[in-house]
Amino acid sequence: MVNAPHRRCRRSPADAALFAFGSLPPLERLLFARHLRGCPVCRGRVAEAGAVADALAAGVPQPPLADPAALTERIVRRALRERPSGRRRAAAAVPVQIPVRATAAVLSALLLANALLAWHAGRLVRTARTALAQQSASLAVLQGALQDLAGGQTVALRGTPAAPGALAHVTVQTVGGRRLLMLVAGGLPVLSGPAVYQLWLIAGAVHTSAGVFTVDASGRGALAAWIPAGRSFAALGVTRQGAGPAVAPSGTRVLGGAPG
Amino acid sequence: MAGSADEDDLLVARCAGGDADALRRLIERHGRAAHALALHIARDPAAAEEITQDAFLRVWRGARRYTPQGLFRAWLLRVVRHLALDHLRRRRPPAPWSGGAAAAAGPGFAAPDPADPLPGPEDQAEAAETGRALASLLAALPPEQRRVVELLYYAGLSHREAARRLGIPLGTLKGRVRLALDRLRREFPPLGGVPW
Repeated sequence: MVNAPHRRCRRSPADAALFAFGSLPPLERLLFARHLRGCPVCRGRVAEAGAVADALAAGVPQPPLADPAALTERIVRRALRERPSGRRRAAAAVPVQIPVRATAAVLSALLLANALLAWHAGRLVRTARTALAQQSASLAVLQGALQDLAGGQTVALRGTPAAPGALAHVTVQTVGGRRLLMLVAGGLPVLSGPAVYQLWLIAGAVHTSAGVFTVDASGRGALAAWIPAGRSFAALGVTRQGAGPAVAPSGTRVLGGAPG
Repeated sequence: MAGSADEDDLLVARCAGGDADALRRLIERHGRAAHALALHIARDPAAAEEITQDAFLRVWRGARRYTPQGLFRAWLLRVVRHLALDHLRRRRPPAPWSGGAAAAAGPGFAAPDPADPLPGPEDQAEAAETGRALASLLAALPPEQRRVVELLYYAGLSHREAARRLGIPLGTLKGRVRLALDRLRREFPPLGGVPW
């Protein structure tokens, strides 16, 4: 337990709970994640709050299912359709509008993106600085957070023809045994209505949402999210989801890239 | 319970080999809990079934990459919550939040139906006991603390959204979060670090 050390961190213990619950907006999550890297007290608090969160998930009432056997068989049938041989994963049954052939183009673009990344770094820093400043973050904290973006695994995302001026920088860092993904993007088209940008972890035909973000009037935005345990990815993509967050990518792809 | 956790990991490993019976067994062990959480958040029976299906399909698709880093059930339910909140956020404006965990902990709390064959009897009894204990604990929280937990965890609101919804300052909301978690941890032994 970490009750005693709690007193040695000036941050509110509630921040750790909000972080564990996923209740902090992206920019605040990013800043708190940075704080976590150097604060074992808050890491302990996050772990404790995570246990509460897991209990809350498991503690809801369990009303009877109308036809549990039918649901089970429906899931199994669907699973078998996706991997009929039982050994290889077939194409995803969930409609995905990210074309497979675009992956090759993205990989090629990645070489250019990596070369351009350093050149764009200053621009990205200014992008994030502006965005974070709008969240009333202190400049010192902001600069520290941005410096940390240079650590961990990095991925440069380049704009697609749908958003040729867009660029994003993604880092993946291990925090308390979990992997935290942070994205800072700029040059994206401004959104309207319920539309959001959604980041996807791509592994073959499987696309897993890593979260959503919006942009300011200058097309700048940021996202911080935990990567589910055991989830690997070969590439990252961002889609514009016109109707809001989606379970599978169905909107226009605006950014893409893969780890170098 | 450790044995159960090991069995889950073995079942996931069998899923990685394309064993549909292993997937069936995972659904039998955890399907009710997954569906219950999906229904609790989405408040839509049809959506809850879809979310449950999607969650187990993620298990199936990702089985070969699955690395045990904790209890499978906790991981599965995090996936379910994520999917359910995605569903909730797609609906604009969000449906009014009513009841939530408070209702869950009150007279409306539904014990598992003995006639329902989905969960294995031992797993289900344990899950039901845990659920009842936590539901009772949530019910015992002061209403203002319980409401904060509901809005943040089950409705997926940000802390600012929740404060706005409740008409309270952000600092007050944080105070309630802290008090609620302190109490849950203090009074519910499994949250003290005992795996369950």
